[in-house]
Amino acid sequence: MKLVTEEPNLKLAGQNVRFDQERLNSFVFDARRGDKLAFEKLVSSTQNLARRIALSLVSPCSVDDVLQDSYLLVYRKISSLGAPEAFLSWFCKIVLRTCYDHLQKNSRVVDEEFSEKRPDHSDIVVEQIALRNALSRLHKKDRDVLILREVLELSYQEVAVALGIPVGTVRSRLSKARKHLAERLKL
Amino acid sequence: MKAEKQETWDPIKEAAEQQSFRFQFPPNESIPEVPSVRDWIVKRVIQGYPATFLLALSVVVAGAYRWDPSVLACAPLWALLLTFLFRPLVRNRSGGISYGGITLVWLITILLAPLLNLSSNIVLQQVQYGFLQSELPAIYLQGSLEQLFSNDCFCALLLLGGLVLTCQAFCEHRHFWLLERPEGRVRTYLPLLLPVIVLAVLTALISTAAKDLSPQQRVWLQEMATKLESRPFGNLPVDGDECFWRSQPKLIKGKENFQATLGEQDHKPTSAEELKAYAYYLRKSAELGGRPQQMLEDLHLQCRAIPYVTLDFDFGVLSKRLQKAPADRSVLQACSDKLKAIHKEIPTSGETIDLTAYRELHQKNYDGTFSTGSWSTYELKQHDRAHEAFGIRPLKLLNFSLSPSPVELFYDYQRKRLLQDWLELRSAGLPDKQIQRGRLFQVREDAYNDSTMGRSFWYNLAYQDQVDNFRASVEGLTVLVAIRQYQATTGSLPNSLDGLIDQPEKYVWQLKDGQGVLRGKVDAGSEVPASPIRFGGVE
Repeated sequence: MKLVTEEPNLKLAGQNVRFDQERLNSFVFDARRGDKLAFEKLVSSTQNLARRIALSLVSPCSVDDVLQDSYLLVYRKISSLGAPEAFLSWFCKIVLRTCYDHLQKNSRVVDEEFSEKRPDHSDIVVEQIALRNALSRLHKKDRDVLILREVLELSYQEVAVALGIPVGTVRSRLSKARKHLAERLKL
Repeated sequence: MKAEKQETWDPIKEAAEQQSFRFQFPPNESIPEVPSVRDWIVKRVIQGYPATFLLALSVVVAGAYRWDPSVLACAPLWALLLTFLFRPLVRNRSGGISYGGITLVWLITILLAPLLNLSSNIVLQQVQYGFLQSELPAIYLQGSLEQLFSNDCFCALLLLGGLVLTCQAFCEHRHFWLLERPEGRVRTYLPLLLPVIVLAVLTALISTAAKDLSPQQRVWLQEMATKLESRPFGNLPVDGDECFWRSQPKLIKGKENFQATLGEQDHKPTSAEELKAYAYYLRKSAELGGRPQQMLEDLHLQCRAIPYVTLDFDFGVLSKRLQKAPADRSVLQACSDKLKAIHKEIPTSGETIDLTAYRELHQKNYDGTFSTGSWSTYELKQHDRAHEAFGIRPLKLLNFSLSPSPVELFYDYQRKRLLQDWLELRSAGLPDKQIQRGRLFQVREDAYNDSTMGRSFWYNLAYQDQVDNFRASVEGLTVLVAIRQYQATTGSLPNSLDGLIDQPEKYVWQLKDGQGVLRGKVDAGSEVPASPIRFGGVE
């Protein structure tokens, strides 16, 4: 996956999630050799990305659990990752899958959370819930494409690599997902 | 519009920025520097090694044709080779298995497995017997394909494939973090060249085997077809619906129950199988009935229906019976008439060899067993079974028949080769003497040592080349009957024939200008010249 270097210090540039690929690779490389400090750096540099995915799919109160589970899996399985360059797509898959596992385990709670109409919610929280609710009703394949493209702002090529599908499929799924999401948000 | 789109996702992005997360390291657990053995194994499973190997192994074993331990021992090696070659094709972009890819590999394996098994069988045959008959590869190939595409085997393969892919999907789902995008796509398609090359070679072989006949060959075949059609029973279909003669041997329980009537014998056979049954019926009739007329009826059929077999025994028995039979003038006259009719229909040796060659090469399913006199309903079934297992027949895949099959193509090629050789030999001229022709055919037979059809062809040419003996025997019998008629009329024999009539099988007679001429005497199995004696009044 080719990611554009915009912020060498790994801070978010506005709304973008961009990384210094070389530094990320070095964190992955060191972490695979058992360096816990490098792993911490890896967590801090990728947690915004992970949180965006999690917030798109699970309730805010579950985000930390999802992230903990995701990073725990990364911690235990990073040695099985082939090339460090493949980390980001690999990590996206792990976070997405952890979110879905979490949703499956807590489906009843989530449903309640989605249908909650608490009066003390600010507008932004209400919008978040509405968006998550709408996303949850999309087909899983379309939803994944939409999250990676719109929430993480990955390029078509990057989304294709992360999901293991052709770029053309990314485009078609994205178009379909956008249309369906717009319909659901209007409702 | 774009700004509006961005705004849709702002709540999530803003919320993500506002929070922070601190990973809780698991206590007493460090980051593993190498993957666990389990992960290593599961990764190989996900990469499709076991799935490809198992599918290849099952196809190779299923198509082994000969379930010989040595052949089966080669199966894992072939499966490993196929896995090594085709495994990259089964991977998808996510690093898992592509169902389209695995189906493609499965089909390629089905195409290649019979060829791989063929090579195992050929090596085994060479090691076990030291030689390889040329038709065996085609037979093995066809047998392997048919076994692979038998209903049971194919269903079992589909079931196994489904099971393997279900396990594969389960592994991918459970261990999704091991899915890794494969490197490079171009390299993975290179193995496809192998089946393309195999198909090209097979197509070249098929087109070689299916090459057209030369004009000279066509002319000869046409000429022979016309000749054969003009002969009695010359152009019967291999099999037919009518089972009149085939049902007759069921009546034979012993001499008492056997009923051979001339009325039944007038029922003309309508197929080659019926003809065989008819010949068998006549033979039994002659053996059990013991009347010279019945034996002559049998000989008449032999004469008409080419090929001939060694009839020395029959002629010997007949001459004994004619010599010892009461001097019934009407019987002798009937025998004389029948012998003259037979004599008129005897073809020349050239015609006989030509027709034998034509029937051997061109008549499909012609097996040359017509006149062995050993036909029975049971044997016919056995014969059919042998044809099913080893004969020339279409390729049976699932419930479909495909023609030409590998065996048909091979034998077609063999026939053309034999036809070419035969016409070359024929154009060079065949010797007049039967013994010299026999030697010539023997040399050719030896040259076709690796081919069952080739050996059979040249052997049968020599074996059926007995029309000269047949003619001599008929002429000998004709003279004998004439002598017996003379004796019946006059009550005595000419002085010159004293002693000759007592042992008729020992003297060789010949018809010349309406007279019987003693040609020679049989001594210790071979003919030696005898003092010329003439007996007039044969015609």
